Amino acid sequence: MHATEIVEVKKLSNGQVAAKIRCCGDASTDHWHTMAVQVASDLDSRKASLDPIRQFVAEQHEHAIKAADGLLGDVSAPPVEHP
Amino acid sequence: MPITRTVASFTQHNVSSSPNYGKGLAPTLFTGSTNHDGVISSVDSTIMDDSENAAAPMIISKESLRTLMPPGWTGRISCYLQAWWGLTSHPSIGFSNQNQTDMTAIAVDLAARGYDVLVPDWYSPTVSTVCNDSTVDKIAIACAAAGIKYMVMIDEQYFADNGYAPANYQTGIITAINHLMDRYAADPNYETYTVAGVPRPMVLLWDVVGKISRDGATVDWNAVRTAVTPHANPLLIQYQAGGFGVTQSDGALAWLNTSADTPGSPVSGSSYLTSSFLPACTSNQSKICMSSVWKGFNGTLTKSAAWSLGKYLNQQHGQTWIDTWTVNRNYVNSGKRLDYVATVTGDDFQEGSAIQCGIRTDIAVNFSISGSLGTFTVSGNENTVRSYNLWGTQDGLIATQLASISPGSPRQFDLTSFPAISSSGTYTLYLEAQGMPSLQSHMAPQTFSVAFTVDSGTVGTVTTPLPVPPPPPGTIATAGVLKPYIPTFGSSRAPLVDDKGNPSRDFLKKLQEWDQKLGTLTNVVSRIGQISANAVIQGRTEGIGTTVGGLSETGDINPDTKVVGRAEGLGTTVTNLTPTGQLASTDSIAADGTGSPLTGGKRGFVALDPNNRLANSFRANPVNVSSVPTSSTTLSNDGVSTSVTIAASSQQYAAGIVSYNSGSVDTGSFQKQYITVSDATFSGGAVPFNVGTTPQSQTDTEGEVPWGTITSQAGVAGTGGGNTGGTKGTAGGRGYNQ
Repeated sequence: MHATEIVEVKKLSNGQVAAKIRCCGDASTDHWHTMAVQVASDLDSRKASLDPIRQFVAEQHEHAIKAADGLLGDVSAPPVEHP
Repeated sequence: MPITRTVASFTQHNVSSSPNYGKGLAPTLFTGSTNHDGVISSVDSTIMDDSENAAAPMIISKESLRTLMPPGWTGRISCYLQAWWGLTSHPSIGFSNQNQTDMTAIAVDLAARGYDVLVPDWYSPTVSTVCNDSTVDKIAIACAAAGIKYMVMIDEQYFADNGYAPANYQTGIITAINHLMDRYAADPNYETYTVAGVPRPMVLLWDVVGKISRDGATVDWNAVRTAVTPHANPLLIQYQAGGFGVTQSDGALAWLNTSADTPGSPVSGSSYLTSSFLPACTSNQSKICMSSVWKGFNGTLTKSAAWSLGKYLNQQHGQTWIDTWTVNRNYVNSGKRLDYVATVTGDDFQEGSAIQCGIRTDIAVNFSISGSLGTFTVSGNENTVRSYNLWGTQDGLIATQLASISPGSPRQFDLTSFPAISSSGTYTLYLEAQGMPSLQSHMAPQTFSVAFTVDSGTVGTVTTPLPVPPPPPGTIATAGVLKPYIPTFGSSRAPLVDDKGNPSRDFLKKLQEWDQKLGTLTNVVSRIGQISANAVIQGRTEGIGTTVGGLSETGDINPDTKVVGRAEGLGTTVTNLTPTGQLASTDSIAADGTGSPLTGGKRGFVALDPNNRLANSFRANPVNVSSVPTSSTTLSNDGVSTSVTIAASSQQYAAGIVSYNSGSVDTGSFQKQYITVSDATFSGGAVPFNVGTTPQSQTDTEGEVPWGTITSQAGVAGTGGGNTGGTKGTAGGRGYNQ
């Protein structure tokens, strides 16, 4: 189950609004989605624009994990030990 | 009786948020950037956090909030608390609701402001990341100490935090209510409401009905009532206007408006009360009506600001607070009953609604004295000011109110008549612009020292201001207050001898006074008139010998005298400066070029080659740098959504290949789009993309790299960008022809 969140929002110099979407807290999945002023300024339009992109980022993350699993093959990694 | 207060009460931090709440204590909460419904703007991080709560120190008016309601109003004033500070789930902000001392201080502070009831937002008996039984226990003790009551509000997250599936929500809510009543209902400090002559405890339910509905669950509230009746038979207060209509509801609580105000023309959001909640109260005067007030809302510091976008409510420098109280006052004045007015919230700093820290206003006041007249000027909206108070203190500890005038009155004080003064002496005067309840009070930045003589025989009536004489030699001015020299015999008209030729009693008293001063003087001045090395300057503790020890006989600073906080002598410090204060050479720049980004002269050194040309293309501005995408296409559109997807890709520059994360743009319509990426430093990674609809939009900003074009079309999928331009666009990069 992937969970995306908006971790940063910027107003660009041309008035457009860009939101940085991150999946599962993994910064390598960061994806900037830029919205024109008329899209960003309306709550419904903003949601309609952001929702499929969040889904896209989640899918990309899932693909990346599967690709990494394929690279690892049968090699088992030791559990990470936290200090 | 004269009104007296400690000087500290109006000059020092007087709220229960940490006296250190600021950038030094919590730097991640004070970045200087705030999010107003998606628009990022800067805030002054020296005076507020990113959700626009006031930083310390804060001095507010402790006048009772009750004065904001009509006289004789018998309702109660309550305050919602999240009370999760001090838990590992939340950042440290300098106090802990889990610490009894801190919690009691909070209750005492809120009681002093006029609150009658604290309302913790309870999530679970035991879950350690939220307000639980342990927290409420401390609030119960704190309220007892402060002389106020408390009652519990069950949060809708209770179900998730305690493992209840939707099918079991009914069991869950019964269990929660009975648990709370079994634990707290018998406490005499638990809030009750009398119905038909019987006081009954109350339980508030924050959006519980909404949660039940959203999750497709059902709860039989008649069954709930039957189950909770044996457990102190609590009154059930449901959420918002719709709460009145819930089966078995005994009343409803208001929260706040969740629609945004308009940038540039902010509103308080009080229409939520006037259009929704209060009309519902009018229709339900037989039930318990809990209205609300708030200072504002800003979710920048929540875990993800995204959910709070569209909910921003501007504080308007205290106007939102004033306005929401006014709406409630007007409602009661219209003859309607309100049982409670509750503040949303006491301590939700992350949502920018906390009133614990006080509420900032935009008042600034300046005070000056000319002759026997004190005048002042004011800027900012005066409806946040209760009164302008002139205080006088002789000892710096206790001040007497000399005069008080309301906003709108002439801004001046007659310094010749202060009936509150009953003894002659030198007074330091403070002018306070006292805020409306819980709003910031402001002090004039300048205080004055004025000597008053009270006419003999008419103590407490007429006073005459004495001009503050220029300081005699040796008088030290500290903290902006001049301590005037008062001659021992200056104001005495007593006869030197009595009728028998002996020294009069008054004369002997003056001699004793003088003798005492001389005795003091001999400690600081030697017999040959030199100041003793151990004489102490007023306000300091070391002897003057130590104070001037760093100076030479000619008054110059000795080379080994140190600047505070430094270890080397000043002679070493200034070695690399010329006599005109300039650096002797650029080699004397410390750590030049070690910053990020580089600072100082090293910045230019790194950017240029030995021929004073740019060292490589990464040193030029992206809009002028040639590059070619390594992918054949990077832009795509599915013909369904207006969003254009930008694949993760790389760009070949002369100085190297830079990789970029994926992105997307949405103009809201199908059309030809010119895409660029904002990467002024060729850093790559996750960077925002820009989209324009004109060719020149690709080059109208210095830091942009062209990413190509794509023409999106409804019902037709296509690609663009990359090094081919795809099926519906043109290639990206610059200096490259397909």
